[in-house]
Amino acid sequence: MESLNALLNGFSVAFSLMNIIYCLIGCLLGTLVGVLPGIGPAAAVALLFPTAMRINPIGAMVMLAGIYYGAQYGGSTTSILLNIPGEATSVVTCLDGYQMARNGRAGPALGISAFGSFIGGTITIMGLVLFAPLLANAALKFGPPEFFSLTVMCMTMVTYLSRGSFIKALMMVPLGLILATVGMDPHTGTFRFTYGTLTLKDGLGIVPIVMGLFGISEVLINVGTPIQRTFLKTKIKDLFPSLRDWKDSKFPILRGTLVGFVLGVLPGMGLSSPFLAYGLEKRLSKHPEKFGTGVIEGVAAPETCNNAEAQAAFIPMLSLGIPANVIMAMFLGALMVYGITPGPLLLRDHPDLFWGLISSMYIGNVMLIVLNLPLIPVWVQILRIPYSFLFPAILIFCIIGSYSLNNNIGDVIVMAVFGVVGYLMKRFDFEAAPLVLALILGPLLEDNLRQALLISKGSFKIFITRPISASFMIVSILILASSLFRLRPKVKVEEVS
Amino acid sequence: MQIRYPGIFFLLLSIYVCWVSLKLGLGTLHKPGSGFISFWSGIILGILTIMMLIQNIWIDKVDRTEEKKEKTHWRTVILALVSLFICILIFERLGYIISTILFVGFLFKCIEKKGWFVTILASLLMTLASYYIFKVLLQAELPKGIFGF
Repeated sequence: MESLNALLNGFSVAFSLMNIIYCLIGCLLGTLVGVLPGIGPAAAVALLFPTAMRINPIGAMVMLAGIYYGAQYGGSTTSILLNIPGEATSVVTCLDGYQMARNGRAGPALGISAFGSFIGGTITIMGLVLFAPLLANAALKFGPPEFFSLTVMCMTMVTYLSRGSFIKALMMVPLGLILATVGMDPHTGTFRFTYGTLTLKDGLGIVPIVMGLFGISEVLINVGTPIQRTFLKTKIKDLFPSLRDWKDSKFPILRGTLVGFVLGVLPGMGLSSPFLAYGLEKRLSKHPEKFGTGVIEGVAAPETCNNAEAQAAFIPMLSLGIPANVIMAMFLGALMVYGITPGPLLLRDHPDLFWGLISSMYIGNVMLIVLNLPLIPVWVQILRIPYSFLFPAILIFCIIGSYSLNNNIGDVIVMAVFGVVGYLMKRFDFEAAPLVLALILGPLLEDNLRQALLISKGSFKIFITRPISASFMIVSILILASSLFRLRPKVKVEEVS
Repeated sequence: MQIRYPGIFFLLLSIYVCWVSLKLGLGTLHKPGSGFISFWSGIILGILTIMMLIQNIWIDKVDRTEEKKEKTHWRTVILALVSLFICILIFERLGYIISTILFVGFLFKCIEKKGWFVTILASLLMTLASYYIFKVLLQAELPKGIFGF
């Protein structure tokens, strides 16, 4: 009941004219980004981060959230019409979505992915209303050892579930922690790895690094190995799925929501959730052999799932201050820019922001379904813009975005350098997500470790003698051990694409 | 073979980080110093790098034989990067408008091999549109340069 009242207050915040406009801008930009291959939601959030920072914290979070879940909606369009996923979580949609389009059923495929996303998103927000405050209240009992162990578990899970070599992904964690120490040590006032540079004395900015690692490197990859686009010439009609389509899709939508919700809460599981939802449908289907030939269940389940996952990821970020993926890590960074400490105290200290953001998601979901179905022909036209005109625009965005943060050319240099680093990382198959998470969580980890050791007078036993901390540590150790014994599930994204 | 270069880089990096961290001071377990986290991160990075190299050389050759990489157009990647860094160098001196026109013009002419008409028109339009959006509408601070615009 208390949550319901708070949610109603949240609606009064979200329904202010400016917040509705920010939500609308976010949803439209997010869909645009999702539609265009070559700019993922992480890069989009990073690109618009400096612009969002010019408005108030609630407006900024509402807009950035709109970009994030809007991108999940938009990603399906390229998967279905081009067989190229607009963003990573739409990869599996290509399998049946593109086949449906080839069979002349692009309309129902696009329609069911929009409706499925709406239903999945809306149900997940209800879960968010229910679980986030509970988790936040439980987390109020956490001390430095618990937060340290939780941070370790989060980093381990993200690393465990990243693609490719586990060791390579794990290497990115200490690298991110090293980068996080650049700047002034808040405990002693000593400058670390700054070399007398003003830009480095303030520490490495999250935004220039993310822009470089995700935006610039993506451009370099795409200009280096151009994507072959074969646009399917098909008429898009019957966007509203038929009764038969609904009958076939209703359970895949519900199961997709459940899978997305559960996996969205767990750090690092986001990318694999649509694959799991697709696999589950195939296993439960009476005609599994038809999967891959253009069945609507193969579109409904993963598309619902990726939207549910996107919104469920807000639960650990808002209630614990722990990001489930790299985009949530940027949200965390955004809150910190405003001087707001994410975590269990967010709900108590900033209820307007907490509930306003959640309420805006309901509004955003409605906006997306109302706007996106009629706008699908427009998005299809945007898809025809050649990449040769897109990439200079992305580079300009990156330069302006990083410069306008502090009007400092040093930030632009950091962005360009990390663009090169990100490009090389992609070439050598190193994942950027664990690095960014470690970079963002690094100060939290260091602070809690120091405080915990101060409490325990230098004994590491404190992390295993307190039950909550011990359980987080056990999970981390189990994850590391299972990787050594090669029990890690493989997310074969490239294989599908 | 391919993994050897990042391996050597990460090993050298971890040694350097540990050396600097030792100079910063590790402190005690009761009161860790400024170099504590970076030192142990450097050690872990070094150990993991050695594990990666061993895994690649003796145990697991997956990385070498895995998927064949698509052919990279190195010329375009290097041109894009060099032009980006040059743009950053002249960004504050020549101001946003001139440096961006030059940068975008270079990308269109030298990377995309467009004709002069498209190059000039597209670079002018992109620069002015971005200037209008960011400077006029969003009131972002953009450098004016020696020409004052």
